[in-house]
Amino acid sequence: METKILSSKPIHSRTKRSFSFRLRKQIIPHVVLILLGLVFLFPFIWLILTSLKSETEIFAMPPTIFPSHPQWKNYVDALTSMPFLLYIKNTLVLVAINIIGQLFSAPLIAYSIAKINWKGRNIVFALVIATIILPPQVTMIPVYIIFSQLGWVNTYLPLTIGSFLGTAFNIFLCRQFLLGIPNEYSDAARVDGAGEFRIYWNIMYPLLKPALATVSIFTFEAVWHDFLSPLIYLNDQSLWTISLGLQGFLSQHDTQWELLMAAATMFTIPSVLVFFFGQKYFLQAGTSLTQFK
Amino acid sequence: MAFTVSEASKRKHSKKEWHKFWLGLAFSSPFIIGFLGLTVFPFIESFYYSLTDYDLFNSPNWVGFQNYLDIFHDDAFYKSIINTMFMAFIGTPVSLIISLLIALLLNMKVKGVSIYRAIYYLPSVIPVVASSILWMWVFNPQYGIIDTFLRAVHLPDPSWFLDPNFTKPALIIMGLWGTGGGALIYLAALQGIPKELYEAASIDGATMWHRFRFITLAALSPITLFQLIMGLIGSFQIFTESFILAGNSAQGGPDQSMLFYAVNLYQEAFVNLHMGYASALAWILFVIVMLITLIIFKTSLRWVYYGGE
Amino acid sequence: MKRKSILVLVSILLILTVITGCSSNSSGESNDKGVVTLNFWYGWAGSEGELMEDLISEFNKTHDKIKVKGLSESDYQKQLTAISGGNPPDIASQFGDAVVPWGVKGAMTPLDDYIKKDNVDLDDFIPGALEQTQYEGKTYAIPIAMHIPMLLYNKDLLKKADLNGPPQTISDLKEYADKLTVVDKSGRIERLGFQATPSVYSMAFAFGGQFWDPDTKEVTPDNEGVKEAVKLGADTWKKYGEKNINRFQSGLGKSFTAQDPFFVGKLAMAIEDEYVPTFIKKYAPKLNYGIAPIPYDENKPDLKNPGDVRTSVFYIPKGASHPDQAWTFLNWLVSKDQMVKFTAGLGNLPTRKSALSDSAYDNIPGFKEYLEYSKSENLHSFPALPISSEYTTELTKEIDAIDRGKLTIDAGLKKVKEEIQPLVKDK
Repeated sequence: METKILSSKPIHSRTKRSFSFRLRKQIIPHVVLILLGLVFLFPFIWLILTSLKSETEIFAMPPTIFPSHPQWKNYVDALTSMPFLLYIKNTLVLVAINIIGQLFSAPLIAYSIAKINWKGRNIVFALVIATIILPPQVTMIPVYIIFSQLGWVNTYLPLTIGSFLGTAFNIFLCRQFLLGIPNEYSDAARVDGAGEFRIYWNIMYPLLKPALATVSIFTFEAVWHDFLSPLIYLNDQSLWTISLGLQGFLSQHDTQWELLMAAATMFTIPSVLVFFFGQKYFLQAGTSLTQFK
Repeated sequence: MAFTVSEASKRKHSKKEWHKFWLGLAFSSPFIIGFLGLTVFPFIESFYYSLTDYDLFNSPNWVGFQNYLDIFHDDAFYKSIINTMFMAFIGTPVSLIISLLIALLLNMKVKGVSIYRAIYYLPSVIPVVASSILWMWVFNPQYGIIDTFLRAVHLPDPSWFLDPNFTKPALIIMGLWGTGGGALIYLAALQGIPKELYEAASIDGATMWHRFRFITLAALSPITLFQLIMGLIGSFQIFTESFILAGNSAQGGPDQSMLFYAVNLYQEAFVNLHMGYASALAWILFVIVMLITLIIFKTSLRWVYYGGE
Repeated sequence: MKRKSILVLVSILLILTVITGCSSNSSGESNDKGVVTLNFWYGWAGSEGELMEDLISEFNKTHDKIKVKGLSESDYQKQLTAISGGNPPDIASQFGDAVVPWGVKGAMTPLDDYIKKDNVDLDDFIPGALEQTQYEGKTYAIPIAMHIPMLLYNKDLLKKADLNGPPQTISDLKEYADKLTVVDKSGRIERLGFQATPSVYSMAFAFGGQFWDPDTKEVTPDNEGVKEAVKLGADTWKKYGEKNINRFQSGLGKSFTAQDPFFVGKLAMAIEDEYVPTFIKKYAPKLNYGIAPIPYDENKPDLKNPGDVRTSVFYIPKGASHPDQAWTFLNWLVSKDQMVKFTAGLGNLPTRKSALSDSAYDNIPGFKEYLEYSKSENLHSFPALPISSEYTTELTKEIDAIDRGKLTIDAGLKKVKEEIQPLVKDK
């Protein structure tokens, strides 16, 4: 209401100021946003353009912007010069297991913090937050030694077990979401004599869907991007993930830019697709971080 | 009479308490198991290893605080600290400012803002391995697009990832490309600032700058604190970019200018197999990160405003 | 509710199968017929890797109890991580200079018992090649190929610069390098006469330098000869400027491909190993080049024909699941027939004396010159010490700093000594 009153003040001079008003409120912002948008998009476009150039064109002086004859063959070459599809499959397997793990652990733990009024809840929550600050390097070496003594090196166990035990960020997301769900839902069920687990599983879990979608998307991105853990734990090339594969490809073809760019493009596309389809969940995560209570 | 009732309810109460306690414990048990097994135990064990000489092949050999003494005579350690501090104290603030500016732009009431939002956020979902390879090419001094452009407008054209003075600035520029994530968080916070605050200030005759300084920045300060701490901690973990850009040797590129703390630690642990020494490095990292967090929290009392309540 | 529980069950099953699936997969299994599968990691890639695969399938055809699974893995560091993680391959290839550091650490299985059992005639191996694989009476690996450097020069470019024949001495080399380098008006390098950072090992031997004093048990990176070798590269960097060299090198193509800087004439002279002529024949058949001895210090004529010898070796990692079968395969690989087949295919020098005169090498480009050169008394290899890996890493690091003018030559090499010498006394 108040906004309207305030902004309606200059209405009497509207026709006169119309252009400068529009310039200020619409045109200039659009120009700035578009220019900056181009800066952000450019490397990405450059990636795709380079991936379509021939080797001679890449080293041409002066450089060309658009490939004169798009070389789709670069993609075929990149695909055949390394087991790209196997790496994708491996990474997807890891993504799937990690998502299952996160969907199991994050809401469960968050529920104990947000909805059960027990003595340890604040301690658990504080510890969850503390793990965000603890640099992973501090525990990396002993964890590696433990896993190697268990014979788990060169398997997917070290890369998946953690998600079944909860990750701070995802627990936090679910907690924020749970806090927003009124207790009336569960109280009614409790009166009917339902046990806590049934309330969690039958009532709360379905309500958590948007948060779980966010968790899944972030887990996808995290696993898809991860480089250090696969680097440390996976030795056998047949188990490699896509980021390890691309790094290996880089060390063998370090100046075959057209192939590198084609491979990098293929590596990037799934990530971008997930982003476009799940855009609103990224926003949600941003919002829930700002509403820290 | 009243006495017995309250006694009974108390007992009942405490029984209920215990029930809830066990429930809470059961629900959070995955975290507790993980916390004990993958955080607390390794954390302590890491300290033990830091007092030994251990190469994974022979059993750990007790050396007391020798590793810590050696670290303070190790050039690579100092080099990695300086490089990391550069990223932490120059890179983090720069990217915070840029992400705030982007958030302010995106907060304008213009049509199609969701498209811009998507474009700015896009680079931050590109895997680091891929974006490092891309930027290696963009920054190529001979054929790269940036230097070609700089030459065309007769500006100096640095060798970026090949020149020790420019590797870190190049990394920061590369990092700015991915500031969309931080901007998104700022944007969410901006949209949470009550309009009434601005209106009241306008009525009081506050200038635009004052409104920005005393309302926007103040309201965003808790988020700035969060992003600052996460950014600083993140810069102590920079690894993949350096690993890719500095070549397979992992020695940190030209003149070791990209030898960061996490890279040096990885090198000691998994290349040289100096597990004890690397554990000592990890503990020093822990102390540094804790100190930085503590100092920032302390000083934050002066510049962070928590809303009314 | 029901549907969800089924979903949960299915997902748990999925996890279990995947997890158990990959853990059983990764350890070498032996099935009911008693056939043992060996995991073999080798560092050759591309056309060289294919040759290795040919040998593997030949072995698999002739041995029905052992099946070898080859994997091209050019990141040698992965081997060490795999061994320390308790999940190593059964047999792997390496360069000779890593053998002693790894062997002493306990990452390699000593082969002496196998050698004795199968009566392998170690005397047939060229002593210089075998040296790097032995330490304190133990043999940790067997060399299959020997790598020897010589000077390759682009005949057309030398002719254009009015230079007759290859440089003989190091002063010649410097003069040639200057004349052959092309710099444009702005200082941009278009062609380098000689590598900006030539192999410090080969050049140090050319100056009579040494890296280790066996009497005092001291590392000697500050030795005069090493210093001279480092100076050779540092002078080039100083002369043309760090910036220009960086820029020049960033525009170079990958070594040993059609874009190799020497193959395309961006580098007029280079110190290269014996397999390079084979690559030239494949990727740059029209290149008009010559092979010459590495120039020597004119003040020390007795140091003619210097160079740094390296080897490629096979070893059995500690903790390999099937060491006995791995040895059978290893022994087969380094037997004369296989060695000839492999090294002739790659254009490498074999490590068995009895192989040297084989007719298979007749058509290998440059083989004659390199074989002749391999008899030189001034060929040495980097000392095989437990600290060799750290030592070479540190050298590379400090030479980089010296080239970039961050450190003086004396300060840089002194630093190498200070870093490495303390590691020696421990062992």
